[in-house]
Amino acid sequence: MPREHLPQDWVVAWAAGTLPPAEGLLCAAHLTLCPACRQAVEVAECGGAAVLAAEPEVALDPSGFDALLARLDEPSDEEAPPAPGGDGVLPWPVLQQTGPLEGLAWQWLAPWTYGVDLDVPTAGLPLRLVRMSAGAYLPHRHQGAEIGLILQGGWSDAAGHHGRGDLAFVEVDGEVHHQRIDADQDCIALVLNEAVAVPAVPFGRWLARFLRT
Amino acid sequence: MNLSLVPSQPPTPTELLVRVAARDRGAYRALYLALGPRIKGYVLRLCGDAGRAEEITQDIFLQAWRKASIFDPARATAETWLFAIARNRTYDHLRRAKRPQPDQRDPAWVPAAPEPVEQAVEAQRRAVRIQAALDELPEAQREVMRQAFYEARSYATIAEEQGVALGTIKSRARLAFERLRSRLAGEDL
Repeated sequence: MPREHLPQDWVVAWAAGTLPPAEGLLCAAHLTLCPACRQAVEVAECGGAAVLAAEPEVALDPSGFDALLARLDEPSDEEAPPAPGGDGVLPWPVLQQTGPLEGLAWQWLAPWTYGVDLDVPTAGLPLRLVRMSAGAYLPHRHQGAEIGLILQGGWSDAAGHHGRGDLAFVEVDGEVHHQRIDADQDCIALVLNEAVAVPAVPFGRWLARFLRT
Repeated sequence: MNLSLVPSQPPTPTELLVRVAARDRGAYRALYLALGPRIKGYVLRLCGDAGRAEEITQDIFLQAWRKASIFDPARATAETWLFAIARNRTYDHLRRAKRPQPDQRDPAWVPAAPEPVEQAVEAQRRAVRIQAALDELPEAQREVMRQAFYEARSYATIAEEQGVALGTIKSRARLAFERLRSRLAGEDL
C-alpha cells in the first residue's frame, strides 16, 4: 500500500471533476494503486451529493421522460470501454496514453535519466514518464514544484524511501535533493514538473542548458 | 395495531435504483422525477444552457439505466452514485473528452483489504451523517465546498473571485473536508 497520498484538496477537486488534465491523470493512476484514497474519494463524492441535494430544482422538459423511454432499448452508441491490458506496472489510465511499457521510445533527459512525454495539456513542462537507472545517485536542485507518482522501483532521499504508488511532492526550497535510486531495478515514475531540475554537480547549470525541457 | 393502516414511506431513491436494476420502468420514472430536477440544476450551472442541460440530464439518466446493474447499495446511496455519473457525463460533454478513470479490471489494480462485515459502512447512514456534518460547517467553508463541487472552477478561480490567497482557499476546503472525514471516523464505524 502506498504511504504518500493525494492531498485533500486534490481529493475534493477529483470528486468535483475540476482537477486539470495532468493532475487528473496522476490522480487516476494513484487511485488505481491506493484503496485508502479511493475511500477518501467516496466520502468526498457523498459530500458532492449532499451539496447537490441542498440546491434548487430546475423544471424538466415535460416530454423528456417519454423521449428517454424511447431510447432505453437503443443499442448504446458508444464503444464499450476496452478491458484494461498491461503487465500490472503501468496503471490503465497511464497505459491508455503511453502504450505498453516495452514499446516506449525513451529519450535521454539527463545523465541516468530517460523520459517519454505524454500528450496531456499542462501549465509548464510536459507530464512525462521518467526512467532513472538502478543504483544512480542523482543530486539536483528544483526551480519549481515537482509531483512524482512512482510506478516501479523507488528512491531514497532526505524524506525517506518512496516506493510504488507513492505520490512524492517536492516544494522548491533551494536545497539539494539527494535522490538515490534503488539498486535492484530501474525506477519508473509519472512526473509533473513546474520547471526543469538542475543537477547539483559541478557545471550543473551549464549542463542544464543541454537537458531536454 | 394493524400495521397495514400505517402509511408506508415512499421508496427512497436508493430503493428505486435497486428496482431500476431489475428493469422496473415505473421505478425509473419515479427516480427521474425525484432526482432529475436537481441533477438538471447541477448540469445547468456547469454548462449555462437550458437546452443543453436537458439533453445532458437525459444522457445521465440513460447511463443510469444502462449501469444500474452495477449499483451496490451497500457502498453508495443513489444520490451519490448519480452525482458521480452526472459529474462525469457533464464534464465529458463540456470537454468533449473523457477523463481517465481507474478501472477495477486493471491488472495494476490494488484491491482494498477485505472489511469485516460488521465494519462495512452502511451507505445510507453515512450519507445522513455527511449531510449533518455539512450543515454544521461554518458558512465560509460550506460555500467553498459548494463551489468546489458545483461549479466548473478551479480553486485558483474561486480564490480570484473571493479575493483571498490561493493558500487560504486550499486550507478552507481541506478543513471542511477534514471535518467531514473526522465526523465519519468518530462515529461507530
